[in-house]
Amino acid sequence: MSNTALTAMRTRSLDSLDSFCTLLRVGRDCGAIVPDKDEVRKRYRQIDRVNVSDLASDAFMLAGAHHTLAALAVQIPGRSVLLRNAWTQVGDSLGSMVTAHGDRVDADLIVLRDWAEATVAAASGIEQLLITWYRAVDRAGEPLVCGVPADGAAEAVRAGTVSPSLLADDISARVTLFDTAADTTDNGIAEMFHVLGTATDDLAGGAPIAPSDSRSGQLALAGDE
Amino acid sequence: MADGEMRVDIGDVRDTIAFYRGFAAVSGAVATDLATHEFASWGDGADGGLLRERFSAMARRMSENLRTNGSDAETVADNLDRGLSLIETADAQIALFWRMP
Repeated sequence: MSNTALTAMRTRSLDSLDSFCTLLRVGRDCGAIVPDKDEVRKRYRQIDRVNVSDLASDAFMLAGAHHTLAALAVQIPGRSVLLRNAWTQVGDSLGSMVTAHGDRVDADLIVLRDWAEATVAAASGIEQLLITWYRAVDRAGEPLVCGVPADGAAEAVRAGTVSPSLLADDISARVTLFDTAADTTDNGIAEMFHVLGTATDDLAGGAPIAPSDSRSGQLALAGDE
Repeated sequence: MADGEMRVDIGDVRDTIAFYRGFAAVSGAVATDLATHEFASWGDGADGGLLRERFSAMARRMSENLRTNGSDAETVADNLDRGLSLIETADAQIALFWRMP
């Protein structure tokens, strides 16, 4: 999904959130047990803390860096052979330098690839969670409740068009939907962060096929400065 | 090839020099991109803060690695270039010597 489309979904869900908060008051008036609207908005903000387009931007940057370098690095072994054939007496030190350079580039590319893949997966996963979340908020905030608009609910009850218990049941169901979706989204995002953290733990602390030359190929972070 | 005979395909070596210079430029540019991109600006709170710190450190380290790789590629190109220049200079001097009466 494009960034613009996701932003549009978020904007619409904010309107739906307002509508849902209005419905909470109606539900309370009808005897339903509903949360405070401040509590509902706080839950929304908690989920809204993640800017998935920035995460996607990181993923794009890393994947682009890997793609650009990999397209060149794949030529290095062939270049090395070409050089040895073209200059049969090329010195051992230069030959070793070419080989060591290729090894370091490969090691860094492995780290870059894994880092990019982990970030792409997290961005994609969180985007899917947010899409589902925004749709759930839209459903919870659907302005017609039992066929009447929230603002006209009190009048409809007075006129006997709709029963208070029916309104209460409908709004209670929406509260359940909102709470369940919020829990699922919150837990899902936390899980995505956990997975991303674990993946980068491995990249940061491990030694993914690193050459003996310690200048490159490792991203050991803890206490390595 | 007989002992002591040296054979160099100048064209292939020049191509290799150009490749390593190109690699150095690209690796340096990617290193700069990683160093200047603001990583992990997408989250706050405990989880986001931790990852922000980690991503920044990883980007910094990867940028340094890529810059080193670029610098090494430039050194390979320089060494090859210097070697070719020596051969070409020696060749020119020998040709000059043989023309002398």
